[in-house]
Amino acid sequence: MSNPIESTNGQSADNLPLIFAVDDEPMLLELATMIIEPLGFRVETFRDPVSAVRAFSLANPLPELILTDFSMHQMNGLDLIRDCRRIHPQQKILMVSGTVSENIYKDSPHKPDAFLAKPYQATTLARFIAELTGRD
Amino acid sequence: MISLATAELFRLLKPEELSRVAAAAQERTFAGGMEIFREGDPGDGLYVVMEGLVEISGVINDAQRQALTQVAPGGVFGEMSVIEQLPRSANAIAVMPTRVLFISRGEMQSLIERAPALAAALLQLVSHRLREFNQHYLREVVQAERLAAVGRFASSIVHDLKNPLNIIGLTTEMFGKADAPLQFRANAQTRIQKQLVRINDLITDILQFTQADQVLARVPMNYARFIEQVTAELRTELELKSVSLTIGNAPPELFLNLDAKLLRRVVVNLVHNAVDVVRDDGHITFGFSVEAGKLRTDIRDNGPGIAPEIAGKLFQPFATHGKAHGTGLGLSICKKIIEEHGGSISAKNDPAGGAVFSFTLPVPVG
Repeated sequence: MSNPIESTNGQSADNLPLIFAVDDEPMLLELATMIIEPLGFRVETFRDPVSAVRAFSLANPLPELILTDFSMHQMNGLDLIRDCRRIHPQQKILMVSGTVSENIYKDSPHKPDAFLAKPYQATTLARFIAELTGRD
Repeated sequence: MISLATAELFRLLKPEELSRVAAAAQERTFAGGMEIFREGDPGDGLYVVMEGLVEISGVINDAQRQALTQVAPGGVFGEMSVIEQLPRSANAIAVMPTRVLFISRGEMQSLIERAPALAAALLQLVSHRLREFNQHYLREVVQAERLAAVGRFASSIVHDLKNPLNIIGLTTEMFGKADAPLQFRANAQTRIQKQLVRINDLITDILQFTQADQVLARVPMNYARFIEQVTAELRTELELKSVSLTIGNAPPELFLNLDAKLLRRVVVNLVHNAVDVVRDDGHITFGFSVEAGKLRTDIRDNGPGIAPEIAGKLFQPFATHGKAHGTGLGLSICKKIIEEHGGSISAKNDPAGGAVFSFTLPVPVG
């Protein structure tokens, strides 16, 4: 399911750089949007990774960053990374998780650019996003 | 006092055969803690314990040994070497000052040739060891499976706690910001309360599962009102997840003896399960029917249906399949609660698509 949440900061949302947020927890998506939008991004949220990959394959322009949970229904965060990087190998991805640690992708060929453990703080998420997108 | 005649292997031998064994045996003594043989040593003969105690252990790694068995006076160890000429597969250590009789492989083989009863006794001994090993192995497997279940359980609990904790943490952090939107502040309390209910439900699940049979607090209740209340509560939550909840036909206005709190958990669990599997345009439909003194409730979804590999163990604990949420206890708890109400619960795939979970409750006579 795709629930684009429009920017509320008064600028034309279409001109803002895009971030995809993927989590099966709608409230976390809502909160992530509230944290990310004031940083000057447009956020598209997805409750399942399959819809996110589908939207990613059609995205123009591509999102500057994908923020994804690890444990989701049909596929996990690493599957999502594999599928998205197949389309765009340089795609920046930030993975969050409350169940696994960074060890989960130690031996995987598909690694996120950064990892954030749940529960995370709003300020930490904001810092990671600024660092990964280079928009401090 | 143990003699060769009373030792387990030689009990059936004739006196002259026993004398031959005695003549072939060499007495050896070991102080407590002394090694008799170790894994890899040549399998050169068997031992009969006359006094003391011997521990047989296997090597797991350099630092760890697993005790397999202890051999008391009258018992035999190292007998495998008589049958096959292979190095020792275990370690034997004298637990206390121990006296043994050693009979070499060659001597044993020539004794067996002259006393067939010895061959039968040896076979019996090996067969007994195999049985012992099987039992030991089964116990270990059951224990390992239990530990694995605890591991899976712990992992799913952690996941189910981290998300609500994350929501509570972020909400309080954002609430404290000077520029937090008014609407957000207004909703923050509800948001946190919802997560607390979720954590509480999770803990209740665990308690419910671990508790012995509980006493139901059953009171006569109009089932239609009960369904109205639970579905109203669920609708608010489902709207956020873009899943619709429809009542196919009105629930009957019947008074049933219910523990409303527990039955609410059944309905909530079944609906949450459905929400977890439906994707775009999710629909959940309730249906009701009464037949043969039972009120039946069907909860139908338009998800992918029940996977064949999980269908048989759906109501067993820890059967969670491909789900992001859940302790794996939900359906087994539902089953327990429904059965305690005198009803039954089942699940099937709808030929038109999706899954249907149904439970029945007895309708009081008169």
